[in-house]
Amino acid sequence: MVGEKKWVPYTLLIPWIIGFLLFKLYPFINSFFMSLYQTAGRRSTFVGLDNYKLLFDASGYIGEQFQNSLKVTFNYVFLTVPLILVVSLLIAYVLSLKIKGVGFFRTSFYMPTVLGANIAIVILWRHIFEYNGLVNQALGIFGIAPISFLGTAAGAMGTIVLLRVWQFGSTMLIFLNALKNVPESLYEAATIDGANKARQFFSITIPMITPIILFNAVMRLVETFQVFNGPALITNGGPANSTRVLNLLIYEIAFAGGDLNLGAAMSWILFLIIMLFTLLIFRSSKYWVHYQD
Amino acid sequence: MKKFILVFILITLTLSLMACSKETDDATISFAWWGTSDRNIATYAAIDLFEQKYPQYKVEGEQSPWSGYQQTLNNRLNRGTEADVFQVNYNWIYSMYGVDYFMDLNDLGLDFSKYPEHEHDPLTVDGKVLGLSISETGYIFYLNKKVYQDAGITVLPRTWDELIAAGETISQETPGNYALGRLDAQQVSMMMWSYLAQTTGKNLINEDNELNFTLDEIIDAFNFISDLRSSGVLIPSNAIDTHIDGPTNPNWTSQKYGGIMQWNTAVSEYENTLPNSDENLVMAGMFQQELNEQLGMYKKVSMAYAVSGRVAESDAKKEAVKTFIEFMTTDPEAVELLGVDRGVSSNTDTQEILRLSTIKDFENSLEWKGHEIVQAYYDHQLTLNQELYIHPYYEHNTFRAIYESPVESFLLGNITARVAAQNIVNRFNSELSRIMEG
Amino acid sequence: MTEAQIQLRNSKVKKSVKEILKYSIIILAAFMMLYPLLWIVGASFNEGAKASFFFWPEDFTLVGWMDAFSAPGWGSVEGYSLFRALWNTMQYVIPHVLFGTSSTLITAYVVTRMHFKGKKLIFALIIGTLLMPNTIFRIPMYAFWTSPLIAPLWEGSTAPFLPFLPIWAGSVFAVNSFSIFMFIQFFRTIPRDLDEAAYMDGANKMQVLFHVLMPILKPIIMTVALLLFIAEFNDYQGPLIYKGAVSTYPLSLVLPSLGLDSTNTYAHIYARSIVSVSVLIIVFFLAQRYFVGNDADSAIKG
Repeated sequence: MVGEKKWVPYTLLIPWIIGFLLFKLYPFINSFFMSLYQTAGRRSTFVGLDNYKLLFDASGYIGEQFQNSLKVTFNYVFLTVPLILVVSLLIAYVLSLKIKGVGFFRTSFYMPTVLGANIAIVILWRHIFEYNGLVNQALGIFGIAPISFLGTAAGAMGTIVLLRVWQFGSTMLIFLNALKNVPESLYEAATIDGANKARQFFSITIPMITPIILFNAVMRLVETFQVFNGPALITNGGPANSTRVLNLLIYEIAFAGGDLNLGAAMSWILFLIIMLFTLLIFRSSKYWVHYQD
Repeated sequence: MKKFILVFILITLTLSLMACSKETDDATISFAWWGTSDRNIATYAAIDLFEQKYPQYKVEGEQSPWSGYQQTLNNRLNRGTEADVFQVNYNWIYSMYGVDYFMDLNDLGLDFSKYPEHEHDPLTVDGKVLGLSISETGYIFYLNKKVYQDAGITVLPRTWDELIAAGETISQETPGNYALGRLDAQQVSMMMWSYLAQTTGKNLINEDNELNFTLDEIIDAFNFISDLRSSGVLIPSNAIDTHIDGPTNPNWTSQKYGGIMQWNTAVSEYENTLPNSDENLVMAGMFQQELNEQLGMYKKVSMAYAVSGRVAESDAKKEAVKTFIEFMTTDPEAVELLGVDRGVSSNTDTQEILRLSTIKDFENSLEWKGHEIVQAYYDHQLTLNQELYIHPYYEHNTFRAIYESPVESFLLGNITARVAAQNIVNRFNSELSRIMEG
Repeated sequence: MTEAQIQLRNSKVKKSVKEILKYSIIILAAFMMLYPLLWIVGASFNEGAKASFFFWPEDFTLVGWMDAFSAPGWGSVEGYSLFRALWNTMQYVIPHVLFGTSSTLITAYVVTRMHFKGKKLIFALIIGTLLMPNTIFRIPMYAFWTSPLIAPLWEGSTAPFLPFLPIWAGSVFAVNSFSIFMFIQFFRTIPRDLDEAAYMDGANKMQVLFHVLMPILKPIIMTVALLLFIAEFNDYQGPLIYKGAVSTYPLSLVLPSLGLDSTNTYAHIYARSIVSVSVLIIVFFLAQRYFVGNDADSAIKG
């Protein structure tokens, strides 16, 4: 409606503007400046790129830890994201077919997402995967020797990945919604042409929902690069640093260790990495995403 | 929405004004410590007693669990909002810039005469005494008699060879039990340095702040650990027991593990989780190479009371803090209340109070027995010119990973003794000097 | 049997096989999803450190539940009860949800329904910040909140809600871009006819929002509020960074420290965990009808 007081939109946007300036722009810029200093007690001195040099000096302990964390985080991300996408899409597809009691199933798949991020559940996960925990006892029933999940690098990583993949519910709901929006007419036409269900899935369903796949992939990517709760509470970065993801290392150095400047430098590297991969995915989307319009 | 914001701002301002007006005055002492239930209960009781005896003062006690205490303290020191009196670990005096932020206790007028002459040397920087020693501590063994008795062993081992023999017996007679059990990287590291101190007579870190052991010596220590693992003393790999917390480890509480290695001041956590602990848990000191030796004993000040530099600004405050600290460390009733949970004080008056106490038999407590052995062995070593005091940066958060990380990988079976030893040797000196400069 | 009948029977068999396959997949999956939760309920009634795979408790005991609320849980003498921890959690969850929902709603409304210079820029910034990782903000904000000037505002405060200010302050200023995004998407699906009709009757923008559009917005508001609630209730790193005295520990900080005291058996731990999780379940089911209703079209068909 034109002619109304011009200042109304701006006034109403003041909270967001303050939010953006104070809680986004300011910390974004400040974190870069913080990374250029080093602090001893109450004194800060400008050191230029020394913090970054420390991070990339593999011969030093900090550098070694940083590189390890990069590797660990990449492992986690590139295991978890594809798994989530595949599992949630599959289950969403099955649910989109005519299923009795779909409401029950939908809720039960979504439950872990709601509860799973809770600290209580994270701790439960550790108890489940301990050497004499629930899973090993279950294996014992089948006569399988206990596996040391938390004592081996692969096992520990698997435990954390599993915790996140267990919570595929929200991604599944988004896929479910997208699947519903694929026009029935396309399927009908394909059936008439003689294509079976599997063929239809790969030639119709998937291409039609590629925008949603893109959306989910990017959202999950950004989120998994910043994982914290699992590695912190279940494995505490172990065993032998095999699950010390970047966010955990940043926490240990910046907050537990008190070196905010080095932490800021690490956050910046993490940020650049996330932005890089997000950009890569978006760039690649030209080749595989089909938009409706 | 606008009204919302306005109201919110008004409320915030009002409430923050209320919060700001709460200032600590000269008659209020804020006191921060870390601990578990027992210590907290005792400390609060002592505080109540203090307020009764000295009604002109008030104490604000701030209990805290161990985890996160250091971070919070560090944070508050950076802003100048730390408590007036706070409990610190010995090495924090260095890593938290105590020389800048802690008060010189000489200035407070405390009586140091009842402490051993060199007790406070490690706590003194640039001539300023930055912490009042609460107790000294050493890393020693405690054994669960029951595990040994179940395997038919009546005389507890005193040397490493006897320990290994016991381990073999235990694993044969009672499979699934171990002479010691699961030790984590921190404990195994300490055991290695103690072992090496016995075989080489050297401290881990020399006066030039460098690694004192050679590569071969460290490999030897790792091989020694392997011997312990293959003879039923230690579990063969830390991968088969991933329960990180010692006292609540089901294998400890169900008495499959026969022993622990721990600061003698921290043994009560393990005591509390054992059934019948007063009968079964025994102080075993440090295993020796040969019978009747007294070697391989490190020690350090376990914890200290530090005072904020702020306190120095007001004479009245100084008086209050002095009274409080003296009360907590030397007042007979307070001493009996606090007991030996923070270790056995080196103050001779305090020790006398504890000895004569009729409430509890402190002298027979595991902490006290451990304390006696630590002191005895350490003094004996001094006669042999071996100075095994723990270096102030040994337990520094980032530095300790230099030795604990390779040890952990070794314990998990991921790397060999040679690789682990090489890792330690490569990084040790450079990291230590980097930490000490910063 | 005729050829046709045989074919019919075959295809029926094929169909049944497919049905069985379909259902077994999801039943198995659902079982794996839910069994850990079922197990934790059973374990809270179970005495003994070693719990078995089967969820039914072997040594039935109520001690875990009875002590869950009152026993000194985490090394304290005053026995800070679980309710205290719950209240601490609410002290930052409630403002977060209330302020977060309202501020993002208003922002989305302005951006979609009003015209003004710079709208494209603001829109781009909102979408841009959608993908920005949180870590980059944490450290400077921590330095900000713990700086000598700002810290007295909230640290050690005895007023309600204030000790947790750093955790929820952002919500007042619509920092949650995802919520704004959800509102924007939803607004786009609402035709402007209703708005136009209201303007004809002389209403201004805010009146349109609150009186005309609000009923339609109810589902999405509940959805956003629910998502904000879940996210903030489960937040661990936030309270961890800003933790203060033990009496202010929220559930996220209390639960990990349980089990380290010799007075706690596993039954205690699980009982308390369930209490913490029940809040989530209750809130979820309350808001669920709106939530599921949000995918209203698809949900009804399913």
